Amino acid sequence: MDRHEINPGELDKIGSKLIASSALSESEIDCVAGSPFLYAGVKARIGSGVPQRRRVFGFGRRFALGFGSVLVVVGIAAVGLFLRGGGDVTIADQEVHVPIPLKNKPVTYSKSDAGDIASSLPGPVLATERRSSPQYQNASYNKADDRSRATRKTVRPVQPDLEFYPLSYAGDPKENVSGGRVLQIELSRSSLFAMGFNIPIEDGAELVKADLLVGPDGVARGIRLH
Amino acid sequence: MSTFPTAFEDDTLIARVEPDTQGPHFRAELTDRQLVNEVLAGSDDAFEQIFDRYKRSVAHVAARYFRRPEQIEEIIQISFAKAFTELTNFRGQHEASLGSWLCRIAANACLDTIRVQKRKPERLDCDLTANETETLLDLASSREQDAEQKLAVRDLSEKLLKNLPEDDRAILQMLYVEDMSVADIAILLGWSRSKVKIRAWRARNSLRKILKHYM
Repeated sequence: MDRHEINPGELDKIGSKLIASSALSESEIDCVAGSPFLYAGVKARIGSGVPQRRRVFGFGRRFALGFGSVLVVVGIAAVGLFLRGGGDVTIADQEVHVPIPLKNKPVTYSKSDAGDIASSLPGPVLATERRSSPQYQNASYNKADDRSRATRKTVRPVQPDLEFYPLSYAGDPKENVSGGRVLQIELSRSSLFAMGFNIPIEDGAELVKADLLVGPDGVARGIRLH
Repeated sequence: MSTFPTAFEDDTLIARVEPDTQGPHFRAELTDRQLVNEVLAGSDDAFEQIFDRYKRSVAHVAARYFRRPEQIEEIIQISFAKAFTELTNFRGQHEASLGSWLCRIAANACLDTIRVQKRKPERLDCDLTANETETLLDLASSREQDAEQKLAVRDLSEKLLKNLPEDDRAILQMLYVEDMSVADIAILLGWSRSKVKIRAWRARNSLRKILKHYM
């Protein structure tokens, strides 16, 4: 587009005409000012933004915030006192003492107490003395006591299985048990699986200790796993 | 001649009524001061009369800054609502009549709205067509325009003056279109005469830059 050289006076003249043409006409302004809902809008704005109401609301809000903050501080202080006091809780003017359970108190022993503790413990008793004692002789079978023992037994470390499992290719293991021998052997897991034991064989080369019951004829009758 | 309608309007031009006169017809002839007193006494009708009397003046002020009808309506509502809440501060002394007081409130409301919107002038990134350039050059001549040309000029002015801030355009409109004096503008806006001159000079320079860009 060709550029035209125009002096500032002509530019002002063009500018003034542009502004004059962009100005709203009297009829347009009258149309806006004559809107029937204009005054209703003014009343609505007045009703929604009266400063006196705002001040009253502001005071109430400030009062509520201040009162709420005081309540929060007092509550936090009460909870802190409750937690810090431990067993001593003060409610109004009554003082209540809450005892602390003994199990929560740590028990400490010094080296000087070691002798007293050892002397207070019962000394070792031989098995023969125990069998000959009157308590052993007069002891009666108590089922509940036996049950508690069995329960305690499960808590103890795992003991080797006392029963021999009969091997599939052997006869009755009980008929020749008198003349047999027990051999302690180590078998691989895969071998045990081949013998019919249902055990996981992920690590088949791992050795497992076992007792093998061998009859007088040299044939294995049973096996017992450790 | 200044077309500024209410700045120096004399209260004596409004028919005064005696206090013992009653009836709606006579109440419409109350002076501004009497209406203000009645509003302060709690009369809604008096405030409605003030609104009816000066809404057009306020709309004129708003129309200098804004073009869209809804914007002008909003300025009118804001101005009268603010006037209602601040009516106790209206003193009504010397030449500052209720009309000029309302017009100043409206002008300040316009400037506040512009400040809140923070609308920056749009970029000069569009060129004019050959017809638009010809139309623009024809404006330099003093030929009369027909209706079609007036419409074309109006569309062109809307396109170009988007690049001019609203407050600059309002000052130029008061100076060029409404032929207001610097003193009148200073009274209306509450500025000093020097400030009005400086702002008018800046606005004129901005408009020249815009026009030079397209010509």
